[in-house]
Amino acid sequence: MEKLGVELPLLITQIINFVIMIFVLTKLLYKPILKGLEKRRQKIEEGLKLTETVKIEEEHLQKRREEMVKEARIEARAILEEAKKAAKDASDEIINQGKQEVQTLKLKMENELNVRHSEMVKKLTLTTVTTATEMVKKLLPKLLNDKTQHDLVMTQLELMEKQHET
Amino acid sequence: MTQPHISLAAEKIGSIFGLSITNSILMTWMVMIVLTAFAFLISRKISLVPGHFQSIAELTVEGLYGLFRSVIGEVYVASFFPLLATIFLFVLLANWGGLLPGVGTVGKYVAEFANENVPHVQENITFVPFLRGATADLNTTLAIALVAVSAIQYYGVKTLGLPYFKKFINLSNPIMFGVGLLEIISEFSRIISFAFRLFGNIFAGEVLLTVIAFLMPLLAPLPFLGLELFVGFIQALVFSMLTAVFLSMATVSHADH
Repeated sequence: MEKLGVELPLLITQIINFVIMIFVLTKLLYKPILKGLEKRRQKIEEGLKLTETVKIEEEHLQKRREEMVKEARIEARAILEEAKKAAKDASDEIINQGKQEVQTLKLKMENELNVRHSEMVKKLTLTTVTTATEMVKKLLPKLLNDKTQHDLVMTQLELMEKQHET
Repeated sequence: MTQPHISLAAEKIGSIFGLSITNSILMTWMVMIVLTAFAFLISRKISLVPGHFQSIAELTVEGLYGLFRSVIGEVYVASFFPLLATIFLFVLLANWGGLLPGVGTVGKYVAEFANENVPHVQENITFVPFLRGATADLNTTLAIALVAVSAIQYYGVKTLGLPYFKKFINLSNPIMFGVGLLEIISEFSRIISFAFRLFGNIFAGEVLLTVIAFLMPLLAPLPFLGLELFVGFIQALVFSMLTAVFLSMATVSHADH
């Protein structure tokens, strides 16, 4: 072995060197690297899980959104129908009210016209009577003498007497 | 013409506190510094969104983890991974480190004496490189092999308890006793096979490159450098994968085989 260069002190030195190397590399290289890799693996796993959860949640939300849109459409259609119905009812009511008002106004106007007509007739009658009276007052003295007046009075009296008798 | 420098043993270039420092130990320390610096740079700022360095580190660590998991299984991979990954990274960088320019070529000339008692009589002058591929030294490969085989025994006992030794010492019948002896020999042969396979491949590669560079310094070594890069990678993979297989076998009870 001596010819091959093997010497106990050198052998022991190399064993110590190698054992030191195992400890140093374990502490400074393998442990930190493997720990870092494990940490990264966990992070990636967590990320993938989170992505999966988010994906499921997104699908759920998408479904929910579609349902909501569907519901909203149905609701909107119902509201529209209701609004149309309400508008029709309101327009019918307004038209009816208008008709009633027109009817009332018409009656009122008719009444008023009748009243005015009656008043006008009265006024006209009065005016006519007054005018006739005035004319009679003015013309009568010229047309009737005493005898005519007497005959007329007598005729009237007889007429009244006959009427009284009947 | 100077002969190419080829030495089976690592050359001593100095000493610290009485401990001889060889050029391969120096290279081992350089590999350790590079790996530690890289690991330190990575661990300083680990973020969820990785940068360039972190991506390289993650790719390497994750790739190795997946590879060893496919061999060992999910249960034990976390326990065995530091040892296996360190074998792969350390051996890979040590193998490739030997291919760097200047390694094995930059050094000093030392006078060798035929008789140490008579220093003035100079025998010849030899070249001593400052750096040598770490795995081109049997001390390094044997050290890694010893650690790997020790770990195999440790995890075997830890997983199976005392029944682990049944595969070595089985007195139920003479055949099983013989098989047990073969198992013991096989465990020791693993150390030798681990150490010599890696050392042989890398040392042979370095010798090949030295010879080619000596014969034809320009362009000719390039294809061999590419080949050695590949061999370096394959040897690192083979060492770590075999350790993974042996670890996997050690954690399964002998009756299940």
